[in-house]
Amino acid sequence: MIFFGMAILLPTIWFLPWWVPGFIAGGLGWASGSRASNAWQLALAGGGVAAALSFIKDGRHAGIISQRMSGLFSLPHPSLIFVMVFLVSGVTLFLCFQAGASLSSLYKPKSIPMK
Amino acid sequence: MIRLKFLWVIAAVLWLVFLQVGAGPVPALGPLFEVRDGIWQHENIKLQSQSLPGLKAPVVVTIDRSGVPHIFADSAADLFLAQGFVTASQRLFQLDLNSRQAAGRLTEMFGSRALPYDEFFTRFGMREAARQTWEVYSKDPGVKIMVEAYAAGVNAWIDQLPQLPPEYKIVGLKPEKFDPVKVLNMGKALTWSLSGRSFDPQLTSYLQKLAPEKVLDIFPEFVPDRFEDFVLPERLKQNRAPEIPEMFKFVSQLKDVPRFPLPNPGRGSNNWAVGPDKSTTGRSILANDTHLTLTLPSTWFENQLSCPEFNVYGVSLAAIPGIVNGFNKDVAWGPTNGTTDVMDFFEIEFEDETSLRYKWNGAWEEAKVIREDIVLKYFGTKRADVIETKVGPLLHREGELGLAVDWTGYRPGRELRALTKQLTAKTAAECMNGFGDWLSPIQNFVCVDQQNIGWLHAGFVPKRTVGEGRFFRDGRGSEGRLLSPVEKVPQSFNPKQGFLMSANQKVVPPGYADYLGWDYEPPFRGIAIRRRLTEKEKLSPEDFIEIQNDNLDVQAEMILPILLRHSKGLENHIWIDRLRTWDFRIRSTDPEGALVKAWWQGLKEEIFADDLGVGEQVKPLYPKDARVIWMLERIENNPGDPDARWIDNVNTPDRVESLSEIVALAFEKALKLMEDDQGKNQRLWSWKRWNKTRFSHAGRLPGFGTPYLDMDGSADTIRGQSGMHGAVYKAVIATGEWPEAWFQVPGGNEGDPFSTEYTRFVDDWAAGKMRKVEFYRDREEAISKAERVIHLQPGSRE
Repeated sequence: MIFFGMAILLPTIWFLPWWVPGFIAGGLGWASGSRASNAWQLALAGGGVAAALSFIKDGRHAGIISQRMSGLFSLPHPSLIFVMVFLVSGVTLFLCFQAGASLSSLYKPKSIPMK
Repeated sequence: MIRLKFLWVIAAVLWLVFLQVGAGPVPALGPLFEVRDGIWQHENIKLQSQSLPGLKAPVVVTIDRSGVPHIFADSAADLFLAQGFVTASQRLFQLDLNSRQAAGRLTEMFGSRALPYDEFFTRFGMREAARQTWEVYSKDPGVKIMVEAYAAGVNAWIDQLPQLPPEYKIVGLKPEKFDPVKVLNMGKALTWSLSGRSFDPQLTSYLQKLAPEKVLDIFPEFVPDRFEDFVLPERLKQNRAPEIPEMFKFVSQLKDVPRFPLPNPGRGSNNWAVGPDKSTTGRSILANDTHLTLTLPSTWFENQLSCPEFNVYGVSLAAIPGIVNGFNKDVAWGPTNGTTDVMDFFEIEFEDETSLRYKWNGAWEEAKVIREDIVLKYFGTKRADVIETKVGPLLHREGELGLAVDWTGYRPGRELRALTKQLTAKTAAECMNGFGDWLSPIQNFVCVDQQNIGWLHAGFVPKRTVGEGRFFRDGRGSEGRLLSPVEKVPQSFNPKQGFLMSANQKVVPPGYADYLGWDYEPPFRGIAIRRRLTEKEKLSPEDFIEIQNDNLDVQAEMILPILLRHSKGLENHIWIDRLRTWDFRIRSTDPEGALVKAWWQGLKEEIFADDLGVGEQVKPLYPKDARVIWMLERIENNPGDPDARWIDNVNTPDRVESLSEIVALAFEKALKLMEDDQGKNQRLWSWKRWNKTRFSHAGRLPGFGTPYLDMDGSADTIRGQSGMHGAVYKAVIATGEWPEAWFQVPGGNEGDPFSTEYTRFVDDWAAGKMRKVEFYRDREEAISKAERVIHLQPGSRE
C-alpha cells in the first residue's frame, strides 16, 4: 500500500487542491474495506510525499520559507515544519481512509451466504 | 460497533473543516500547506515593463543598487499612479494591513484576538474620521488627484496580481481594492500612534485617591531648568497665570475605566540642523531620525518622485502618496514627534442608565449614533456603533456616567496639502509656511535651504487654560477648541546659536502665552544633542552621522552619581565598583546600562508605589525622571525637605525609611530583576539581552521578524532605541548646488518575507552604517546608473 499510495498521491499532491488526496484516501478505504494497516501505510506514504514536495519547493528559496513558517508555529527548528506537513497530510489521509472504510462496511452491499 | 464507525466519519469531517477554516490562532492548514498553491508555491516578484491602465503618458522607473525606485513621469497624476503601483508591487499586504488597522478591521484578518482593538477604534470613530477627511480632501483638486491616482495604482497592481503575498495565504484573505478613504486610513493610523498618547486615566485615578496638591507635586508642569531641556530655551514673556491646585476641584467619579489600547510612549525622534555659519560645507545640513516601531517591512518606503513640477527624494508611508520626509533640489525637511498632548477626556452625565440623552449646558442633548459593524473572520458581524457627543465619541459608560474623548486627530486635517507644498518648496521659509496647514499629529519640523534653517511646532493644540487636560474634565458644557496654527505655534528661524534641534522634549519653558500641556518625552536626548552641537565650532555631514550613533546615556549620567552616593552598605559590592568606573555609554555587550535602568525603575517603585497605590493600577504611571532627580537632590541637600515624605513607606507606619535604605532596596530589586531576565550567570549579563532589540512583522506574525540584534544605544541616547522602537529612518542631508544625502531604512523596500532582501540593511543599521543615496537630476541620468529599468506604458491590461 505504501508504494501504491505514493504512486497515486505524488501527482495528486503536486497538481491538485489539498482536499483531493483526502477524497482519494476515502475512496481507497471504501474499496479496500476496514484494514487499519492499510490506513497507516497510506498515511505514511501521503505524509512523506507532501513533506518531500514541500522540502523541494522550499529549497528553491534557500530554506527561507521553512524558516519563517517554523517561526510562525513556534517550532524550535525550521526542519520541524516538514514534520508538521507530514503529520497534517498523514492524519488527513488516515482519517479519510478510515471514514471511507467505515462507510463501506455500513452501506456497501454484502453477499448473503446461501443456506 | 456501528457507532464507532460513525466516529471515524465524524472525525474526518471535523478534521477537514478544521483544515479548511482554521481555528483561533491556527490558520487554515489545508490551503496553507497545499503544495500546488499554498505557502510553498512562491516566486520573488520583480516589477517588469508593462502597460499600466490609467497612465496618460509613459513612465520610467529605475531601480538603483539599493533597491530604491526612481519614478519619472510627465505629470503629477501619472507619477502618483505609478507610485501606488510600484509600492503595491512590494508592499501590498502592508498597505492593506495599515488601512484596516485604523478602520478597526483587523478581526477580518486575525480573528477574535483583534476584536477588542477593532471595537475600540471603531467606537473611537476612526472610520468616520477618515470619511470626513476625504470630504475635505475631495474638494482640493491637487490632493484629490494625488490620492485617487495612488489608489488607482494600487488597484492596477491588485488587478494583475501575479501571486498572493504569503501573508494573505496565512490569514486566508484576498487583497481588497483600494479607495481614497482606505488611503487616508493609514494617515489616521500613524496620527493615532504619534498623538494618541495620554496619561489622563492614570492621573485621574491618582486624583481620586490623593489631594490635587500631592498629584501636582509629583507630576508638575515644570521642574527647575537644570533638569530640563527645551527646544526653544529662550525665556519668553511671562504672561499667563500659574497653575494652582484649586483649578482641579472637578474630580471624575468614573471608577472602572478600562485600559484603552493607547500607543506606548517612547515613539520619539531626533532632528537637528546647522546653518551655513556652523557648517563645514558653508551650507545648511539637516539630520533626522524617526523612532517608530521596528517592523518588517519598514514603515517607510524610500523613493524618488520626479515630474515637470517637482523632483524630490525621501521616504513615503506605505499607503500614503507623496514624500513625508526628504528633500528636493532646494529644501530638506524632517520631523520629530511634537508629543504635545492633544487628547482630552470628558466625563459625560446621561439622563438615566440607558438613555443616550446627556447633559449639555443645563439641557439634555441626544447623542448622535453612527452605525458601524465589525466583520468577523469566520461568520457574521458585530455592532460597534459610534456614540457621538458634543465633545467627541463615547468610549466608556458606567450607568449614568460616561467618558468621551476629544482628540485633534479625529478632525479632518490638511496634512497631505502641507506635504504637497514641500515637494515644490524653494526656501526654508516656504517649507515652514507649507506646514501651516498641518493639524495632527503635532510634529516638530526642521526645514533647511542652503542658507537658512527653521523649526516649527506644526499642528493644532486644544485651547486650554493652564493645567487643563491632565485629568478627566467635566463634559457637561465645555467644548474643546483649536489653536490657530500659523501665528501662535512656537517656531524659530535662523537663531543666533546657528543650530536648531528637537528630540520630543518640552518645547518652551514656562511663560509661553498658550498652554501646550505638561507631558513630553524626557530631556536626555535633547541635552545630549545640544551638547554635541555646541562642542565643535563647525560640523560636517560625517559629524552628523557620528552624532546619530552617539551612545552616551545622559539619564544614566544624571542619576547614577546620586544612586552611588546613597548606596551605603553596598560599597564593596562588585557591581557598585563596576558602576563607579562606567562611562555612561550603552554598549551592546556591557551590562552596566541595564543594571542602572533596572535600579532606577526599582527606585521609582520603592518610592512611589505605596503612595500612588500602584498595585491597583493596570498600567502604573510614575513621576517623570526630571522630577525624581530634583527630589533626590533636594533631600540630599536637606533631609527635612517636604519631598522626604515620598521616601517614607506609608505601609510601615511604625518607622521612617531613609533614602539610603530605599536605594539599597531598589538595588537588590534590580539584581533580582536582572537575574530573572538574564539568568544567574552574571558574566552573561548584557545590554543586548536586556533591551531585546528586534524587528517584528508589521502584522505581528511570529517568525516573520528578526532575531535579537547586537546593538548599542537606549531610549535615552541619541542613538535612540528601546527594544521594539528605534530609528527606522535615518537621514543626513547636506544642501548644496546639488544636495548630497545619506540614509538608512532598515529592511529596505522589499516587503516579501520570503525574499532574501526582506531584511536588507538591518545589519548595517544595527552597526550604525549609513549609505549615500542616489538623487538623479533627470530620467536620463537615472537610466544610465540603473540596475534595472522598467517602462510603464499607458494602455489597458492585456
